[in-house]
Amino acid sequence: MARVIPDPERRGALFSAYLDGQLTPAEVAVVSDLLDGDTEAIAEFRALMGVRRAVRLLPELEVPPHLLPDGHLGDRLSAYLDGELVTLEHRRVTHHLVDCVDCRSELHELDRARIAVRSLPGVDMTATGEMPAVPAARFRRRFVAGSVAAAAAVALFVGLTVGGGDQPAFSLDDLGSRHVARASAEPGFAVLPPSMEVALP
Amino acid sequence: MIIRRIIVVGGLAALVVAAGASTARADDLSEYLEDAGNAIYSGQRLVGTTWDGIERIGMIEVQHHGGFESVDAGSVNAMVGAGRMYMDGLDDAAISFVLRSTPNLGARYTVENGEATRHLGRPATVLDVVEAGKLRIRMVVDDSTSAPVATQVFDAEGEVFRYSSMVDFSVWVDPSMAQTDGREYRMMLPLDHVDLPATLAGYQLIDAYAGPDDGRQAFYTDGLFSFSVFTTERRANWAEIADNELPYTTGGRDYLRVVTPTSVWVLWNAPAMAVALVGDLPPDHLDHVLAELPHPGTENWLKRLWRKLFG
Repeated sequence: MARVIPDPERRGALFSAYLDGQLTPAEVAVVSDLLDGDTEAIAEFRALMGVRRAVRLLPELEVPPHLLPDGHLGDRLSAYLDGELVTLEHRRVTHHLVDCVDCRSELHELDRARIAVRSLPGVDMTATGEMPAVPAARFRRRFVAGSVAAAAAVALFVGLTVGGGDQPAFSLDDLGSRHVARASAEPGFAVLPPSMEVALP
Repeated sequence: MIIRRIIVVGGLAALVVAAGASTARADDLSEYLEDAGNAIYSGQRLVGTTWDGIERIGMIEVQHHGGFESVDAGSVNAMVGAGRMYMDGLDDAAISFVLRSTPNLGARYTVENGEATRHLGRPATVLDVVEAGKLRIRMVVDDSTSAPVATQVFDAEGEVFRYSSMVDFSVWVDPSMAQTDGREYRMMLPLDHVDLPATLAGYQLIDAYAGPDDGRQAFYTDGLFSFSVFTTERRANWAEIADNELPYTTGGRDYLRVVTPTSVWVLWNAPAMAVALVGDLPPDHLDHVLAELPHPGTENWLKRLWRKLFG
């Protein structure tokens, strides 16, 4: 079915909404058709992208802290941690955090508190009984304790001087994800999260 | 909403006239990368890396919009952009980096406008990115969307080290891509200090973050390529941690490396620390960077004993 080609006046609005990701699939299809062959529409689309880039490069309006509700982020920090902020507000909060020691400190505290809550152990309802006593001869206990202490001393010395100690809790997936996420904020070429690097045979 | 948009577009058009803005291609690499980052497209991308005869190739489905890229590799789907990433599928994860500042990088690269061409039947332009008189990247940019539809990265000998090419391309993108999500992100906040050089072989330390195992992540970029250096004050058995690792010797020193379609890894133990470098930098850059980082080595047993006992 042939799609309706919008008039030039409405085309600009359509492109603008397209760049903001606010079109319906049907409207996106119209834009897709235009950009696939209409040279005039392509030129207009590129001009619009150029303007938007120029606008992005304009210096940001610095709002003096005393004009903000209380100068700090308050409840927005929690929304920030939840990833609930929309792009523009997320950017404002991020910029504020870079400059504001108080809000960064508050965000640290909030994040630590949330991690602490998440890592609380579950309550073990069965651990209420008493351990049964096991009778043993005093001499045998001393001998065993001495042997264990000697073995522990040897193991400690070997472990400290020869062994490599505990392994770091690294996984390349985790390290790679951290790099990919950080690198995505900079210009450059796309790199993939390691779990997605499916190599062809 | 459409009426409001007509007003906005009209205002922007007036700005074009007032500012004398041009639709001609820019001369500055950062503007190309900015345009590419904001391009809107979808399709299939073939990616590959060839290094010392090791070849890794991959094929992925991508959707790109608003600076974000959605990547689909079958059982796993990820959204990456603006310092954030979330992954659905095998191992759900969401991480977001708070950035310290926008890097102010010197002009290491220049761009030379090339000839008109076509990619997948679409009008496109070839652009050469030159470093110290040598071709570093050749990219084909789609004329209507500014999407980089094909790239080749060259090593110091002029051989192709990495490549990518859209083998299927459309300007259609799922509109839901631009919507925000309700996930709980792990926020990464920049640290005030890290014990690594401020510059490494022309790459600038932009910021540093807490890493796993009480370690550190230091992020470096030269405005085009980037890498992260992860360190922790415990030596690692990298052969157990990594898959498909291979030996790599440079500057007379031995490392392990892992090659994937879009990135390279170098892993080693320096005295008293484990180090992992991951990034997309070409091999000659990598060798210079490794020369300036702590070298592989073992720690004197007395020092190890002292450190383990007293920190």
